[in-house]
Amino acid sequence: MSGAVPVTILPGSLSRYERTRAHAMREARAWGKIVFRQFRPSLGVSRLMNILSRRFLTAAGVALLLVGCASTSEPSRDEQDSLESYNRAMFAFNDAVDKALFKPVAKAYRRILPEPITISIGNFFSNLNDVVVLLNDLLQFKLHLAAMDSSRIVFNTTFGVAGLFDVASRMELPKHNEDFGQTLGYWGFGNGPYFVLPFLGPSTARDAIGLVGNFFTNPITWATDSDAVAWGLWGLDLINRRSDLLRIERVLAEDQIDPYSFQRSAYLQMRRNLVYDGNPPAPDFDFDADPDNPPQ
Amino acid sequence: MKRVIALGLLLLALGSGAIEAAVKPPQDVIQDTSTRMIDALRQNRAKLDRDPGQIYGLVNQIVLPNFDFELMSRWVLGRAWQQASPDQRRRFTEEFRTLLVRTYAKALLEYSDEDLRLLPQPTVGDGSEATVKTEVRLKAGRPIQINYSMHLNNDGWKVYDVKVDGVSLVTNYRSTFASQIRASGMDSVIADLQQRNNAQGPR
Repeated sequence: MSGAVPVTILPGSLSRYERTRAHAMREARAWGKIVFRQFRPSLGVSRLMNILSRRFLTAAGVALLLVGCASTSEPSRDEQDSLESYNRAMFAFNDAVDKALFKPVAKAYRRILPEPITISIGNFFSNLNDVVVLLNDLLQFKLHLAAMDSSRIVFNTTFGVAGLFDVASRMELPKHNEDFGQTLGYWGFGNGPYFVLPFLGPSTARDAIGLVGNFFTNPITWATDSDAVAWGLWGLDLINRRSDLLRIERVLAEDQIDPYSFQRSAYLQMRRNLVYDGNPPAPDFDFDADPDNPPQ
Repeated sequence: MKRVIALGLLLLALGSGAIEAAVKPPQDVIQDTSTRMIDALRQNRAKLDRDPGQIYGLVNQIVLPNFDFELMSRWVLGRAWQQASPDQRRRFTEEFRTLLVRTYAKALLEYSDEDLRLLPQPTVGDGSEATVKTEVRLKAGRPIQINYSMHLNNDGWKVYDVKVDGVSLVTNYRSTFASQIRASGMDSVIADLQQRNNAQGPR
């Protein structure tokens, strides 16, 4: 049953975070809980079964972790980046395309259009994206979020004039961040290797699969009659989102010692934080831990 | 005798209570520092527009004392810290601090036109460890979650990591420094930092 899911995932996703057995135990329990929480509604088993299978998950997880550690006794440079040489090449390619095309377009977009317009364009796409968010709330059984996000769509589409104004945020209905990549993570799928996508940038094997789901469930894809309109909207969405990054870029610009690994680390941490809804398990810094191997 | 011990314990308990009361709680450190920084930005708006370099002085004065840069450097370097000489440790800490101050100052300038509102949320932690969770609301888009990891040392609560939407500053620099040290060694990393810091104007 549910055991099969974490078993295939644990070694890769664990060994990158923790090297010590204590951390491994903690993480394995957290994963067990996540997977279990996910499957509980459909299982409806007794409490005893509940505890037994949780124990089993933990034991299986730790066993697999030890196997995983043994096979990688020589610490690899970045366990999550087995595709590093491809990724670095793709990063360089994306960087060149960005410098030549996306960034100048995003800058011009911000220069030409007044701020209220760009904010409204962002709101419009955010409202369409809320459909994807709602679907993924449901797939993760986050019913209270689903209720909030369906209200967001209703209010923003009507009072917010087709989503141009985010009136819901002012009604204590804040924007949430859910997508298919996170849903897969919630179901227990590990990240898989870090994977830089052409044009779109940082991702993982799991999040790249998630992107396919995001693409097909977004109203831009299914609610438009012509391909030209759909791609025009996707293009505008992309430019708008790129222009949002200009500010962060100005802050970090010259200080990145190795922009590739900076971006990789930031992306993986951000996604992990999102999968755990802002509360990733285990304290990130343990002062009693081996100073050589602090958890990441 | 028993009574004396009991009295002693009581005094000890009272005494430690008094000491704890004197230490500013972690969320107050964050709240006060943010308020002071935002006020300073408003008051010096005109001066800063003329000379953005002045912000470094403000950051040094208001924000710097609340960070434990040595601890940050230790975590950022990991194994390399153990192997570094005292002089290398000192120079690295110095340059890393300058780098962080510059980044922080640039972020302040970039976002100071926003309506920055800090909403302190419940603090997680115990004894000498705490996480202060805050949220910054921007004019548009999702609020930014900023968490400060703090620990208690002799001078009070000090920040040793900042997480923006779950992205830890220390972890991020950790991976980049690690590969750079492997490739070209500690001294070259320090020299590289020094060069970046000097190229960027005032400290």
